[in-house]
Amino acid sequence: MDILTSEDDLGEVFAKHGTQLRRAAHRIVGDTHLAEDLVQDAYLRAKEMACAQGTMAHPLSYVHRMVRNLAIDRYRRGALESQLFEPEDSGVQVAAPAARTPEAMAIDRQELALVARALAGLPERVRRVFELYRLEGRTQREIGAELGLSAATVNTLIREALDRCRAALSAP
Amino acid sequence: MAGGDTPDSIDQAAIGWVMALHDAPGDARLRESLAVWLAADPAHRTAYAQARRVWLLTGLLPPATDEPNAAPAGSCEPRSS
Repeated sequence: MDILTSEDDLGEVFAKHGTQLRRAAHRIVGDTHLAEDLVQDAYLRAKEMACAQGTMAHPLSYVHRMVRNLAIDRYRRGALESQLFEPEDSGVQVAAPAARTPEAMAIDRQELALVARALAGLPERVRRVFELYRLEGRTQREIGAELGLSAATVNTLIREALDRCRAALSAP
Repeated sequence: MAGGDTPDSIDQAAIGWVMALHDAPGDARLRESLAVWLAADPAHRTAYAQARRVWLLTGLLPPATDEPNAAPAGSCEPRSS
């Protein structure tokens, strides 16, 4: 039985199973962006629950059910005409997430958009290395072996990706 | 991983710590070293919080190759753990 012991562990559940969760949401709502937003919403709500309870047993099952319930609820409400967030270049304020915790690490849609753009702007090789490390849980050594890169290069590329995302968040 | 104390080097050190903790989550000595580094300077704590936040956010975004509408044949939901 796996029990979460910190809110960061919940983030790891989403990182590791994100594709699967987005797919589950997409099967119901039929829209890629909406599916992404629903999974991020599920993270917010699950995090509130985990903070309130202190721990969470069977986090993946819980999260999966939450994604499905949010997707079904949205589908029933005719979700496609009510978008969850505005494009950041439209000049419109992005909607605040529905759930916020007292903790400092609440997710902000605007920050997600900035990081998404930073990742999209990475050279392809950098992005691939970073995704193998961050989302697929490969070690730096494995990534080096798979892509024919030295361990030092892999380390540098991962740092570059993280640094660019950091810069995107702190840009004035 | 002390390095210098310029803002850039602190940011880089924070990134290094996040990666090191990810690579070796059970390493108690590593955690102790991190605690020492964090205690040494408020700027270290700010940089580390920022690096952790970036780490969290990058985990919530789909990869470039994510294809949620292309479910493989026979895919199903995970069994309860």
